[in-house]
Amino acid sequence: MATLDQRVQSVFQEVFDEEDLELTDETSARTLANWDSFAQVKLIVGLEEEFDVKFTTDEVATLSNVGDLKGAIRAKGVA
Amino acid sequence: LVDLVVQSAEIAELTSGSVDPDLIRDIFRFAKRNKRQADALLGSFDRRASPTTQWLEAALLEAAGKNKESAEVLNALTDLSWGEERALRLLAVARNQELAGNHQEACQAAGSAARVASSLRTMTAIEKFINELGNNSPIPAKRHCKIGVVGSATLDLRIPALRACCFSWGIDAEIYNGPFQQFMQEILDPSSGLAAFQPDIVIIAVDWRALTLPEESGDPDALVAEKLGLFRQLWEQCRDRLGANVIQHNFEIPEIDPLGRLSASLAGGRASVLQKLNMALEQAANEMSSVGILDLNQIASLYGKQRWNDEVLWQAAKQYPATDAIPGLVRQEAAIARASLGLTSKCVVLDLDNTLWGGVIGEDGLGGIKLGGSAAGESYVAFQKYLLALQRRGIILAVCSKNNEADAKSPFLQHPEMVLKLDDISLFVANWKAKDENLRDIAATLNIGLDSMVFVDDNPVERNLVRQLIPELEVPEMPSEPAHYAAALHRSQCFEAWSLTSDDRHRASAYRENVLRREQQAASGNVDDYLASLEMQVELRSFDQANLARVVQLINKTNQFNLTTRRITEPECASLMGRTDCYTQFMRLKDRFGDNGITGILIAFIEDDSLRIDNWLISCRVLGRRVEDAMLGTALEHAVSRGCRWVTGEFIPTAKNAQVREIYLKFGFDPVTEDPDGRRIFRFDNEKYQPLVPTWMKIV
Repeated sequence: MATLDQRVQSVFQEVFDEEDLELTDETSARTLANWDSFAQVKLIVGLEEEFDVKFTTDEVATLSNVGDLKGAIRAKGVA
Repeated sequence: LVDLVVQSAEIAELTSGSVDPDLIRDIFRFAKRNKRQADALLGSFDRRASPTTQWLEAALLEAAGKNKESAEVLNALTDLSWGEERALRLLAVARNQELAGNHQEACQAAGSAARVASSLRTMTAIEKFINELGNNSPIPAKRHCKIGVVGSATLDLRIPALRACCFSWGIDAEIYNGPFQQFMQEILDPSSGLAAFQPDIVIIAVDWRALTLPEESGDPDALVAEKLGLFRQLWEQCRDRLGANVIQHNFEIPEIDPLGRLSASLAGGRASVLQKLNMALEQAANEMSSVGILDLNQIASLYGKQRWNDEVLWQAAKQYPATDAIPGLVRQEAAIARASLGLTSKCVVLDLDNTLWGGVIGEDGLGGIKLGGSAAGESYVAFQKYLLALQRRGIILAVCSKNNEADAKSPFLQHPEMVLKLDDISLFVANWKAKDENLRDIAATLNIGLDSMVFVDDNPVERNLVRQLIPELEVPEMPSEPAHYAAALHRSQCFEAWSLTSDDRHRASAYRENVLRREQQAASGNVDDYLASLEMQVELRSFDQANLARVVQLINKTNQFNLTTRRITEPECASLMGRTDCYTQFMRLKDRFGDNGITGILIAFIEDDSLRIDNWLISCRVLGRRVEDAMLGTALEHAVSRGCRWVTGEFIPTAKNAQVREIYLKFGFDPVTEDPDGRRIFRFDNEKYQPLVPTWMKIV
């Protein structure tokens, strides 16, 4: 089965429509040009669906790099 | 790794009975990551051991670039499920067909995938693929249509899903997404993006929060009137300036309200005001035929109001409704858009055994079939009542059954619990031929397109077979439980209509009358004698307000006898009335068997010394009655009386109008030009004018 890293990566690939997009934990709204507020919503919706979790209003507004997003997902009990 | 996939896949399949959409996505990702070893991996497991391994095989074949093989494996998946699993399979088929060079099949599969997709994620993926299809080569579509969506919340997420849903009905929609919250400016400002886009349809998706209603209002009637006035102004602008139809969302009556149930019982309570406003919108829309209301409050209720709102995404991104609720909403938008384009299905073709009654009439006999009298029997009675009501509103009923004709008809003639009688069925076909063959015959006999027919059969194997053999036919998925039949047919949205004209209500009997006419024709030998014996009265009149809705409906749905297939919206059509350079004509045909209603349209413009026929069409219902002679003859007469030297005719080819390619030649027009794309221009010299109308035909 796919790992958490792979699953996050494929959600990003789907949202940014880039098949070969490679992520690191440091990838952020600053380093990814298309990561705007609409992409943020699509990422949140995509990750919520992929991992069957819900983010808080605060997380939606503040999580802006891959490492933090993964951390939040893990904190919700996803391995 | 493959072992793991195969193993975990099989466990998942065993526990849930079908293949989980998440697992399908995992399998494709796995195949993509292991593209280079795809061939080796393909040899390392038992390919057809289970549906899951079949998915794995298809995914690896796709990764290895063997697209034709992959599509074959996917098509061979015995998939009787509905929903996501089927959508993902059809999308994968479409992807592989396109890569294998089968564009037509790819488009067909993508459309079918969009029809069954139930998640926003899959709808979005399908839309992305449709865009790729369009970039490769033109996508075949029944209609192209420009839809402008304006509203008060974030609309971005729903736009791709709306486009996918439109595509599932054969509509290639170009969609304009209005800037956030600017629905007023977009419609009122002549220099707005919406105005520049020139939409055919404007969807006004304003949510209840944007109305800024107080929890309790002191003067609720004035408040309702004010809000109604605002929307009516927007509708009029859309009609008069943009020439566009409007799909107006009504308003959710929200769950959370400080007044609780009193909000609906106090005259000024917010719930009460919203209810009144929703009712007022329906009434106002009924008076304006360019507007259709989308019952958003009902859609929210069906989805579940507690889940309809995602308060977090509302606060963070002004997303409304919750993303999971979007598919149901856009599905309804697309169904109404389809209706406004005149694509509403016209006919239900019914199987008999286990569809209209329980059991098999040929084996169980009249006393053995289940119909009324028991819980199961009552389900079939209820379904028949629903069908009869459909027939009363103008949907044609036909029967297509594998049976001996006498057996098949016996319940209609003798069973006391039958709701449907033989008179309600416009065409009854019972024999042992293949269903697809019979369905084609039914379409030909009723003279309607296969894409206007809906086939209802309880047998999943028949359904899937017919879907494969006649992809343009609508075949709703029927549940195994007959108590749910009516719901399944209703939820297919095939019969969602823009308006109901008196012609619609009369249609079912009109088709029966046609059967009687055919019998009369068999009795008299010569065609002209027969036509004369019908005592036809042809009424030819200019367009008027009272008949506008029917005129527009006819213009937008007639395909076969249609010279130019120029579709126009109601506002555009209304603007023709009263123009001195425009000659409009609608034709209504009555005869001794009944009134066929308005069944022909002709629009022409006087340009210099010539009358140019811009639009000419006749409903297939009255073809072969020489009404075309009456219509064209009267138009020529008009041209002469206006002093025109010439009458110009035009033919633009479509997939369906080959029968009228030469029609102008028959009436003495001369060919002038023919373009490489088949468009032809003809011209009639009025000096040759002679009355065309047959003597036995009475013009009123």
